[in-house]
Amino acid sequence: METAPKPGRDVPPKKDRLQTKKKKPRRYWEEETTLTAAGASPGPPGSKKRNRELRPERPKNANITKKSRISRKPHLPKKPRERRNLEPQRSVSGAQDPFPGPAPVPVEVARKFRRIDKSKKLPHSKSKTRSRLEVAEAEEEEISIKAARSELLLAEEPGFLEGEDGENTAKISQADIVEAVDIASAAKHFDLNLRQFGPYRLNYSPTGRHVAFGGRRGHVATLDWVTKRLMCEINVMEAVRDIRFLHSEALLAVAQNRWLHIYDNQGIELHCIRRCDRVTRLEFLPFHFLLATASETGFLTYLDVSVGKIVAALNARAGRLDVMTKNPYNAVIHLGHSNGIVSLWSPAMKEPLAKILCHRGGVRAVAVDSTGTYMATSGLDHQLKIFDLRGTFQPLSARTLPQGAGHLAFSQRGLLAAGMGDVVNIWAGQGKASPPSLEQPYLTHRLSGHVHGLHFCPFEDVLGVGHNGGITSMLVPGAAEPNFDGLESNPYRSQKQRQEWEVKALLEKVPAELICLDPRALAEVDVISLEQEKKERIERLGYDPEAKAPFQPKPKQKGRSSTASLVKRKRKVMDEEHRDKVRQSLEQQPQKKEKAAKPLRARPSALDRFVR
Amino acid sequence: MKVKMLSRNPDNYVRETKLDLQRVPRNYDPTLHPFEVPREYIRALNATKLERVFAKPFLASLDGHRDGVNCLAKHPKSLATVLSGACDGEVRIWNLTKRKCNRTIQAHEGFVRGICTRFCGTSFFTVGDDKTVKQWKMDGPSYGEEEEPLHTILGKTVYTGIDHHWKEAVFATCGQQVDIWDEQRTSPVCSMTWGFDSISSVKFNPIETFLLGSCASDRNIVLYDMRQSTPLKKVILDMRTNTICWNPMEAFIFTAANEDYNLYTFDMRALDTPVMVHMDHVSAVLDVDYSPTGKEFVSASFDKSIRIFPVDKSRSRYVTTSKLFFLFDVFLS
Repeated sequence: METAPKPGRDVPPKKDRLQTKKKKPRRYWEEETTLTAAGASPGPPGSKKRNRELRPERPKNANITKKSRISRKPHLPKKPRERRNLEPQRSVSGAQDPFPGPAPVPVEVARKFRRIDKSKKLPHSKSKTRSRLEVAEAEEEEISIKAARSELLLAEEPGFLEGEDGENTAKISQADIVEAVDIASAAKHFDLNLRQFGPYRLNYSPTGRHVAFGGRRGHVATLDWVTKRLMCEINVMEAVRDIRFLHSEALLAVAQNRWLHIYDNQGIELHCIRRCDRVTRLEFLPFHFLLATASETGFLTYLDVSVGKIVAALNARAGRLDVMTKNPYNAVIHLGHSNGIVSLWSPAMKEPLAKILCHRGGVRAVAVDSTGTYMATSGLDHQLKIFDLRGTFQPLSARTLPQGAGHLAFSQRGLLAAGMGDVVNIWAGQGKASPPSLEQPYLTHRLSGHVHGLHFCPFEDVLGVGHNGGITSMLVPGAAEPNFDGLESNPYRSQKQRQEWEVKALLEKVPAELICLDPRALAEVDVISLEQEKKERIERLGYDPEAKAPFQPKPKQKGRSSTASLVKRKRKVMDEEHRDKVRQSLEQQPQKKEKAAKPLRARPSALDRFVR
Repeated sequence: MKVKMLSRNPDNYVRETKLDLQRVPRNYDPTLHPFEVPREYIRALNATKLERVFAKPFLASLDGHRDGVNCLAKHPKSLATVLSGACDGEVRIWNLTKRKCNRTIQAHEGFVRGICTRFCGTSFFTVGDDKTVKQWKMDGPSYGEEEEPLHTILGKTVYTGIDHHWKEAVFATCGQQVDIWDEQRTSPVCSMTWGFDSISSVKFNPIETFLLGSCASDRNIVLYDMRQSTPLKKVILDMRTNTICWNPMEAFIFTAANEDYNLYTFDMRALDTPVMVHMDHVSAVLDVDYSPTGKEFVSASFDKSIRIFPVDKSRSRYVTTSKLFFLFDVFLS
């Protein structure tokens, strides 16, 4: 079997390897009986379970009874079938509705669509504001339930690769997969043998239909890789550092030795941007129409490709920049530096939003997954680490690789690919929302040259690898999101649809100033600046205009109102308030004491009397 | 080994014939729709901008007056009829649908200070700088007749405003005092004062028809009851109120157009605090009028803008500005 050498401790016993080698590849639709007939021994349950997790988690109406707060529909009991049989609903025709009531919605699926974070407590607000917030919350819940119901209509299921009991999926070669899958999928695996023009960088278009690749020695080509139709092929007679599609497949940015050039899909040079010079890495932010370029001179430059203006040029003050990636969730640019720091940048700020010390040596590669939750970094210290980007930036897992990874890429469903020398390893997680577990690779593949670029194709189970010897399109089952949204990026869109989409996308261009760590911050109540404003106002006025006025007793309407009685009433109210305060503080204190006292000892000892 | 690759059949995603609609499969997964909040924000911003771009609020101008228009009145029965009084004493009756002037009357010498229609719509009243109150027929004189008022009342002082009772043959004028007139008499039924300043406008309450409110230049708004023939209540604001207007649906509510750039909606029963302060104008507010539904009102200001406010909001929902003119009087129908 032609797999890459495993990193040290992962090498399984030799016997096992022999067994797997003899086994014939089996197609997924073949029955379980053939498997038993082949005499597969039951393997360790752990590994089997891990592989199973890759399979689609489709709700099977099992644990799905959730009463919505807002829907006033009857609460569905846990075993709806039995209940229905007891009380069938009669219609005019006499026929019974076998599934009365609204369709049940799985809780997990509905949670996926939940947007408002209920754990965040808002400060005390007016009743009008509160009721408005409640209405918004209820609407949001209803919408999430509706969206979860529509999940049933999704046509495709994600791919998967499972070893038989005890079989390590990493040992399955590409040839085996090609042999096992259908013809259309098998055609997606191909090698372009381009030894002449040196290591290649490659990039798939946002719809996943086209691939552009550029070789170090100036070879630039774009390809409709599904039909293998060549769109254009040119030689720019200059070193190509990086290549990237802009918002559609019609425009192509190429970082050449001196300047940044933009070509169209026929290879005609449209622009030469001299303000971006000596660019090493390119990233395109499709919703902001920003092309971020990292240069040898240490500048991170944002170019607005819709108007052709440079939005921001930020000096990272960290020397040559050649490690860059974008966070697809919030459009923040991650730069890796030679001192082991990964810095997070937004065009709105001159300073980095955050700096994370990731490695002891320099950072070689960074990748962020599509949900913006996990960041994978690899450094010169041969470590591969996965960080949690939600708040604390803590490493979740780390692993030392024998060679260290030079290139990293995340797929849409959270698979992590790493290029190490001439080997590509792919790790998978437990599900879509979990980080890839670095214990055992999910797939591995050895190429004919050193890896120079990695990119997962969107909406296809394909990983494109650019290397010294050309381009390889690898099959990675379960990498891509199976169901695309036709209004966002549709691989099958017609020209008319593309033009319409382009106009809409340009109308909805998000301004660069809105890039920040939390893209939902715009929809939330800004408590901090409100409090700041209030504090400033109090300072300016010298008093708190919203403070409760001190009690002022009214003069008596009837009879004589003496000053003494007024003072007495005032005193009374003040004392009452004071007592309330004391009572509250007393109530809080014993709780603290109990907490402190409890862990000392469970039972009193006779010797306690001597304690002083 | 079990393997399944993602393999789509293009027939499921591409339309069969050119006559079909394009297929657009949807997936509402939030990870496929990043930046929904900023994008939605931009969408909303674009929508409001486009609405402004394509808005055509200006319908027509009614040309004909030789001097500035000082006051306007609407016809109680016919939506298409509008009356306007000019600074040269001319009154014109317009047809809005034809955008034509039906009739021109030289009503006064000097300004026409106030104009109001009778509730039945058969006649209207004007007051002018020549200290007269005149009643005119709504229809023009028949052939051979002269253009003459039905009645003319000669007063002692200048009248600055007039309003007619909504159900009875009674009208009120204001000047140095508020006078209540019977249509049949040439002297006021009663005259009411509170303080000694000139009163700029008087308005009858359309629901509680015996109530009327006035605003004077000594910064106060005074409410009267016609039956008692004494003033009822008074509220003093920081600056002068130019006009008030009663809500046609809620009997107790009225809105005052103030010189301090704001409009104040008051509840008649609790005058110490306004129900709502409407702010957006950047200069003195000159006039205000409610829509018949009582949900919105329009205001004209010295900053040459017209704004429409919802009654329960402090900010306007609509604004339009004119470049050339000063606005003196507006109404909403």
